[in-house]
Amino acid sequence: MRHLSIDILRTAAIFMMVVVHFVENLSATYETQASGGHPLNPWWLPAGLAAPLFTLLTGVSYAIWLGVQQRRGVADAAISRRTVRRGLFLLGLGVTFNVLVWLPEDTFNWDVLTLIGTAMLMLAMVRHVPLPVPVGIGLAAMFVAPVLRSIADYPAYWQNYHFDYDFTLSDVTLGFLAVGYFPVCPWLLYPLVGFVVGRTVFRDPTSSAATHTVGSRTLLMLGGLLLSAAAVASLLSLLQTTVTSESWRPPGWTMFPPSPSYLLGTLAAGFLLLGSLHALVDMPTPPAASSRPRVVLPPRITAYFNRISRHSLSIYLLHHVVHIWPLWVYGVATAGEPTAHWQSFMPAWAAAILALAFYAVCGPLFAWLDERGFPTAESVMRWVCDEG
Amino acid sequence: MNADSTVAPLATPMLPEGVPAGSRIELLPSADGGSHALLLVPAGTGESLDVVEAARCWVAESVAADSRGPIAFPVLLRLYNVELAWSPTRSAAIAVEERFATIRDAVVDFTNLEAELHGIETGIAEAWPNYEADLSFAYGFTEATLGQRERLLGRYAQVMSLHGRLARLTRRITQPAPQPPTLAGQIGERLRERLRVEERDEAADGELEVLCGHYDACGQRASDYTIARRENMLSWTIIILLVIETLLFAADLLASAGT
Repeated sequence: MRHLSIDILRTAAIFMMVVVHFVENLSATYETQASGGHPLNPWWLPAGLAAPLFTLLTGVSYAIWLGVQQRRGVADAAISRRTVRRGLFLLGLGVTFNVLVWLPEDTFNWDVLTLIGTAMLMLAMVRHVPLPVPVGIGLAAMFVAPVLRSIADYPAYWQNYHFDYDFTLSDVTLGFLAVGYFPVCPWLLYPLVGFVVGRTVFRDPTSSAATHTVGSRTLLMLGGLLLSAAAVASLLSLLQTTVTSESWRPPGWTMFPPSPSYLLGTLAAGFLLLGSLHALVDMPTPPAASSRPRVVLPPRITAYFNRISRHSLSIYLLHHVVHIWPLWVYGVATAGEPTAHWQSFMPAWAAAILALAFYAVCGPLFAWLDERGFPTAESVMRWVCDEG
Repeated sequence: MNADSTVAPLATPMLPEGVPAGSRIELLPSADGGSHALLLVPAGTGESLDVVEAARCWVAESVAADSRGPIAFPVLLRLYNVELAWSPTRSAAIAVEERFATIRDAVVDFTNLEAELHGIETGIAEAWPNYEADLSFAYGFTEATLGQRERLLGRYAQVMSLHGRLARLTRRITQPAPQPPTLAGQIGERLRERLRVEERDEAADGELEVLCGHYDACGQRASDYTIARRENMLSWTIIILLVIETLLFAADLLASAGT
């Protein structure tokens, strides 16, 4: 059972991720962003939504997948096995990806793939417990994160806006828990909350139009409340500091580490987008045409969102390979050091154009791969994890 | 006359042809808000078969929609020089004028009793498909089926209400007839026999036992699950707090080990 709203949002999330990574790896630096001098700064704020949206949708999709498995009568043990296998597969893929793309010194930088793998393992644990429990775990991860960062001395691990660690048990573990790029505290909040959203709003595909309306309205209402909470968190951080040089950025709005206003704001944005799209493109319009959504997109557009969403993992892997590996090769060839041209290879606008070009190619490329039945990251994952 | 529904009062029916002058129709109010039409025909020196047949046909006109299983309507009685034809919505009595009041009271009393019993039977018949659909809930609940509690509560209340109504009705059914025998008492007794009221009461009681037992078990399972869920939540709260404590401890340990 596919929901167009989720496909659209995942397409948007992977689009933002592609653009952010192309621009930030080929041209921009966190330093120039933080100083407010980057020409893209006013436009760069939504870029911080990509990872939260991606991880939130992971939870929603898992809940829907779980519902489908249960309706098909798949045994509970088989569901657990598949979930754990998928989690371990993504964890392994994340580490392998780090070695191959970010080079061995960044093996344990704890990127988004390892977070999603960990989240899958966590979801396998909490899928039977009452829904307040995953929310409680997510909130606990959010509230304990600043304390963990304080204990671990977070600034000591972040040199020049990048996670810099030693290959020691303490650094690797602390990176996983609190100080890496996407540590479980607080990033587990998104998939866990997404799982609860999936179980409540997208629970039953045969539910009535009224149930869909209630689900959408609840999401919109919660999104509004979270947005208010994010605004309050921003105001509180504004009161605490007199440094507000980055006028375009809400006070206290940082992704690394994720500040309370960032967490609440991105969660609010996720809820508002999901609620709106669910109401518009998923929800049947009562009472006259109960089987039609309010906005009907052309089949080709729907198929495009569907394809990009289904292949989001492959696109995530591929877009790194196509822009990072040539950069490393060029670095070795010209300066003897793979990372010599990292973040200084081309202007931001040129990187953005490259990102758009890559994204434009993705649709036809994956249509062609699907047509010929070539394996993709998703099909390999299903083959490894879902068979047997 | 289903006691569960409000029945619109009947318009006074026309007198049937062939009944003697002085005959009249009375609309008797029933407990469910409807009415029961009673045709009272004053008896002469000897009733012709035509008059009895006319009265019977008049009563039979109304019974098409009524059913009590194998019982055929109208039910015909003859006792103490009274000819009585009874159906759930119409009755006809041929008797001397002085006995009309007694007959009227007896018909009202029995009609209300029978209507109440029929209402309970209808309620039971409607509850059986739900019983079949709810069988799994007597075994246990899951997180996904917990939302069915309100619906089950409604059905439990409905079945218990039927059981309560039947218990009150049973007392009326089983109370002894007045002694020495009276016309009203005998009409009631004979009609109860002919409509198998006591057997139907026992059968309804048996069915309601099963339904009540089932929904009682559902309630017990729902309650068990809710309590277990609450305890589960408490356990998870403790687990989360312990995990947080362990995380903080581990982070502290690792941070100090790192330095």
